[in-house]
Amino acid sequence: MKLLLISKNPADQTFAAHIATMLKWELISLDSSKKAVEAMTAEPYGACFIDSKTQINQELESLLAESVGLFSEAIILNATFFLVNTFEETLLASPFLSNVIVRSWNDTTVAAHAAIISNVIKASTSGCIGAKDLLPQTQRISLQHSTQKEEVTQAVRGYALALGFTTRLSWLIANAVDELILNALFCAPIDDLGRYTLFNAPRATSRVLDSQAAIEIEISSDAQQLAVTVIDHYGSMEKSKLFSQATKVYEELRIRAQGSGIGLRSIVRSGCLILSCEHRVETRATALFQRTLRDQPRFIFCQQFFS
Amino acid sequence: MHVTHDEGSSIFHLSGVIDETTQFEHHFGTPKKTITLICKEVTRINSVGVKSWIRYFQSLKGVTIIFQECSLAIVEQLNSFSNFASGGTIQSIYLPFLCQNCQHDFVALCEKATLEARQYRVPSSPCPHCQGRAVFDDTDEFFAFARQVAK
Ligand SMILES: [Zn+2]
Repeated sequence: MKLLLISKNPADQTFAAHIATMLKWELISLDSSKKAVEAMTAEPYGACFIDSKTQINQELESLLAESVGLFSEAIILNATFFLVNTFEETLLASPFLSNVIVRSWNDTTVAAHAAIISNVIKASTSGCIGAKDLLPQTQRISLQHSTQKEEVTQAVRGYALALGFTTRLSWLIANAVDELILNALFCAPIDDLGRYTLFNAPRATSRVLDSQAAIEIEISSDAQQLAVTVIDHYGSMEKSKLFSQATKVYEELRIRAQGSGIGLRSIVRSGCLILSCEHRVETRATALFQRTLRDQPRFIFCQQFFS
Repeated sequence: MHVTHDEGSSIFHLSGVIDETTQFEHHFGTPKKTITLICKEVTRINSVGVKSWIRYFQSLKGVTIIFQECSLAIVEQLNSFSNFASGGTIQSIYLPFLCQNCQHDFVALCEKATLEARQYRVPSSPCPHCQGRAVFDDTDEFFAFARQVAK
């Protein structure tokens, strides 16, 4: 497999070299967007890392305009990772920013960050992923009723504390779980025509969660990390919807910094976010946390699969 | 969220989770000229709670709001939303510490004026568990809200 790198930034080159070594992939550095687009279309690649400051976005847009259908778009975008200095810098700039990695590493942490990220990239090459695909010890909880949100949130917090996570991180993890469940409860449900049915419903609305409305939680961990996934069975995640809603919310609340939606933003302030959706089947939304807050990598992956 | 306050007093003690079940009008009604919110027990605030908080406190016209003993959850929101304080004054906040010896994490209260005077440099603190050296467990970004207001 090939790892394409389109960046002149030395920090990106070191990072990509670590990833390529860990995945045993061939690293190919490309110095122009023209060559990059050629390489991306010539044959399938494992991943492509792009410095968000390059002009590749426009090339990619025209490339996608030529290719037909969601399927080819998804293949290209799922494996394309934009490297940025801050989420604020570019997150809302383009709908093509499906996978965004913040250059939050330094010389001491680059290998550790690369290991975490290569683990996620490797797992996602085979489709929709959740906590169980990332870390070894997995527990599963089913949500029977929406009113169980707080109970489940507290249970995950307790789990994090038992693993030795700090009190502060345990609250941040609890909040992340809360946000992911809220998303699954109100942003995921669609009708047969694909229209969102509960998007504008009051968030205190309670309801039974059975058949397609069922929500599952997966918690996985190892000595250093904890991953929590909230799974819904609508598979309705749409990047464009996600980003346009985020913009609206920001205008309304005068949020200090741009980013994704409020809930999603609060997650990436303390951990990483992986949104993995199998179209009309399921969405797996995962928050991933490291034991040490200061050493967290920062990324949002937003991937769509069509079966 | 739970709110306690003495009859006739304008000092409110907030605690617990602020989320979609929180009804600010119910807890605070129509406040008089000044209200003081003691926030040390606020553990977390979800996105729905943030929206209701901002809408409620921004709707209070002519009321002076004083925030005291802001928990880490409150500081987190102050840093995320430029209007979270809704024109109110932050008097004191809790700072996160991590012991370098036993990894115990704890918080310590600090007046905002003191932080300003020290130019936001936080000295190490003894760990309450082992008396080891505990250091401030965050970066400069933790004080982003204070620096922006100061500008
Ligand atoms: Zn200690």
